[in-house]
Amino acid sequence: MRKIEAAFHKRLKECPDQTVRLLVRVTGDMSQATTRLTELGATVLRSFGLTNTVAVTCSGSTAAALLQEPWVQAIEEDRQVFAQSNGAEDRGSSQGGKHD
Amino acid sequence: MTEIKIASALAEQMAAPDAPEEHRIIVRYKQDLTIAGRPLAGPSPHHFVLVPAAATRATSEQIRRLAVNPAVERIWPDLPVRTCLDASAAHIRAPLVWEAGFTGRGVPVAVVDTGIDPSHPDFAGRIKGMEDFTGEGPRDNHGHGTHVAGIVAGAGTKYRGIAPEADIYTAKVLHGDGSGYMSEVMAGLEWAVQQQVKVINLSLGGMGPCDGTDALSTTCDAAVDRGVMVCVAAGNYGPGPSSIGPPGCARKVLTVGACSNDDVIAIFSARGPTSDGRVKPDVVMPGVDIVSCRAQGAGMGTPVDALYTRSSGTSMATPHAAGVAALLLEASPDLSPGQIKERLMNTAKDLGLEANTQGEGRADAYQAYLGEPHAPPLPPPGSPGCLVSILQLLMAGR
Repeated sequence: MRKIEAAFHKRLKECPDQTVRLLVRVTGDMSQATTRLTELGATVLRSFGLTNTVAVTCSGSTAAALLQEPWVQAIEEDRQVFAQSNGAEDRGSSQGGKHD
Repeated sequence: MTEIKIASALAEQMAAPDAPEEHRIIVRYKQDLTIAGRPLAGPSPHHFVLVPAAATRATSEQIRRLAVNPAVERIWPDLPVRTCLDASAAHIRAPLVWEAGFTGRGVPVAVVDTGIDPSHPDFAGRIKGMEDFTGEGPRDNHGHGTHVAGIVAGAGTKYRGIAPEADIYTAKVLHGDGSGYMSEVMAGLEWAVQQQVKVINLSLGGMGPCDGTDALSTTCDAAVDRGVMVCVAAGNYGPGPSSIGPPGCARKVLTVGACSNDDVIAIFSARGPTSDGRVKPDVVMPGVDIVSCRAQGAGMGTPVDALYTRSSGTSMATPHAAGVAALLLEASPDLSPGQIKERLMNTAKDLGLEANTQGEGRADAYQAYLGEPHAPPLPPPGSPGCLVSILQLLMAGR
């Protein structure tokens, strides 16, 4: 498994101060991982036992730093998804992120 | 003898403290009786000719007198008939599964979506759990989730869902504008697994392409590994190739594209393959102009009346599959998600289109229930002969 998509990695490096939403897949103990993520400056939103994943928000530079951690298996952007009825999709696309 | 002739449902009706003065009844007579010789109770009977019977109205006393007449064999109540099933339910032959005795009764199904309108009468008494992961509260302030839940498990008369007696769980993961984050959907999925549901419907997704290794798709696969059947929309980003996005590209889920009620693929239905070369969608289901439940105060779709609205999308196709999964699980509770997926795919009607457009074809509730492949198209005239064709049909289970 790739640790991060090249295009997303580039974006993080270009915007180190921008806040991003991430899904961080970790190995080992989840509670230790969430503690460490907080220590590194990330805000933990949720953790997922089914896939050993933690949802966080952090700066681009923190995200890039996370890649150096051996217990971080993969990082991806917490992307938006949309209802797939035609009207809903249109609304979702045009107002994406409004509730953020 | 009198008691035996009066059907128990009618006898109960007659004995009820609030029994009407007159009952609508159907009387069956002995076979060789002429219409003129049929004893009657009430006025203006309707005589049937294919069967020796008549429909009429009668008081309880008149019914008892009819029952002692030797010309009368049986008296039934003339019950109201539920009219006009939704066209798409009939198209995938769900009513034949209902007739076989399976309506999804008690099968726990989760709709992970924009929430639900719990006051809608078509869900009365069957919403077993509602959870909110958006911070907006579990009520549906968009309308999408209510519409989707109605297709899976609405118990209306005209617009009836595919599994109208299933238990309903809803996780609100999409906000009032119809969007949400992958992490919110993952939270809804984990909650649904914790509720021990057997089927999860995900009428949502992002843009393709994808290879199924993203966090949301792998969460879907993990839910399948826990024994949950997960049905996912292919997405409305078609008709270009590789337009299926996450979580439609997950490996173990059933990915559902959309067609019309005459089996024409919807232009918007997203196409495979996935970016790692797998065929998707797995099947297609009706998803054009589907009338289902309308959430109070929500403007989604084209309203039909106060309780129903019409909408299109792979969002509408997916709950047809989730409903069929609930029917199959009631009939055969030990089926694994993999077996249900296989059953739906192997028994789908081949529409003769490219696999990355139609998957295995348009899924069919009754054929999936029977577990027999759809009959192949008839051979062209002249070969190989009528008897062979009949044998082929018989072998295919028709």
